[in-house]
Amino acid sequence: MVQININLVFEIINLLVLYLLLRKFLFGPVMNVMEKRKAMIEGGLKHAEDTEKKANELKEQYEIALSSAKEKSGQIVEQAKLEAKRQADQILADAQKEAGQLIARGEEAVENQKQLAMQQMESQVAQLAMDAAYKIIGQKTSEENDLSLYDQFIEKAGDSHDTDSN
Amino acid sequence: MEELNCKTVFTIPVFGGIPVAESIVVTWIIMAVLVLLSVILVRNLKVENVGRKQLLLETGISFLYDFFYGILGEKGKRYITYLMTVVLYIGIANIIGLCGFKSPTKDLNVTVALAVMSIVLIEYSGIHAKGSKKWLKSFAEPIAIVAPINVLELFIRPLSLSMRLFGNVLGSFVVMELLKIVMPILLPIPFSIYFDIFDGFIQAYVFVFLTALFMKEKME
Repeated sequence: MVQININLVFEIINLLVLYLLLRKFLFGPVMNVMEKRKAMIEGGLKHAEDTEKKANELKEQYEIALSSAKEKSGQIVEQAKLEAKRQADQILADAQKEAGQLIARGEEAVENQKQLAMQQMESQVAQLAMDAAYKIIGQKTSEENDLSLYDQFIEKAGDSHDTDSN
Repeated sequence: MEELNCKTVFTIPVFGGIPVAESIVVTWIIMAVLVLLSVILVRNLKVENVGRKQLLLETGISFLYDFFYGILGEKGKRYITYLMTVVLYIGIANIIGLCGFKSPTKDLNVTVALAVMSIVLIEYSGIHAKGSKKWLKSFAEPIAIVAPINVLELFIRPLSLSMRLFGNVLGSFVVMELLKIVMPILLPIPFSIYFDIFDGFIQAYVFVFLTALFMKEKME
């Protein structure tokens, strides 16, 4: 019942043959497929990782570009504000200058008018004085008298003036 | 008692007649079935869009693979295929009695052959992993005085492996036969489930588990 014989060797040969056969027909192909799938999945994962990395890089770039654009736009707005302020100041200064000129011209005109009025008034005062003199004299004869009187007045005044100066 | 003997099926008529036992013939049958099944199942394997058949196959094989990989690790990866072969063979050999064949593992020649293969593989893995010098030195570890015991282990391990397997299968067979004599109907069913199926797989598991464990030990 319990004996060891040549069948031990047969069994060892059987096992080796079975091992080789199963490795060739069962484990080899199946492991191969599983290995391939594993490689594929790893490749896919790696690819996804790479893509994500790339996307992140791009995102960073865009963010940098965006922030620089924001900065630039801010600068432009600032510049535009400065320019506008400068122009406004310029316009204001021009307007003030013009207004000053206008006022000066107006004052000049007023001065001229005043001078004119003064001159007119002077001549009128002369007339008035003359009239007053007539009234004082009490008569108003003629043109010749007038003239003689005037001359007389001038003469006297001149004389007195001359005498004074002498 | 006639059933316990392993009959000689035929004799090869050379060198005065070489007897070929029943267990060897049944092993051939198991081999044929395994190879045929693998050829059928492995056809049209796909990397993507796997069918249910392939899914089952891959689940089974990766279960075994992961089990051995967990014990042996990266260094022992190359021995996994052999261990998977052995577990398939012992598993089928233990339950083939249900199909009317005589279990090959009931023959001492078969279990001794398996155990010899195991011990050769165990020592080979040690030599391969450490080199022959370190492997020889490992017998004197942790101290030199235990060296005889370590050398003794070379024989004890295959002996215990083969005897455990042989004894379990033979014992369960004897118990089942006795039960069948006591009451041939219904009663043997639960016992058959335990002794023929459960114990058969457990012994296959124990055999390869211990082999893998010893290999791991030798490789460290």
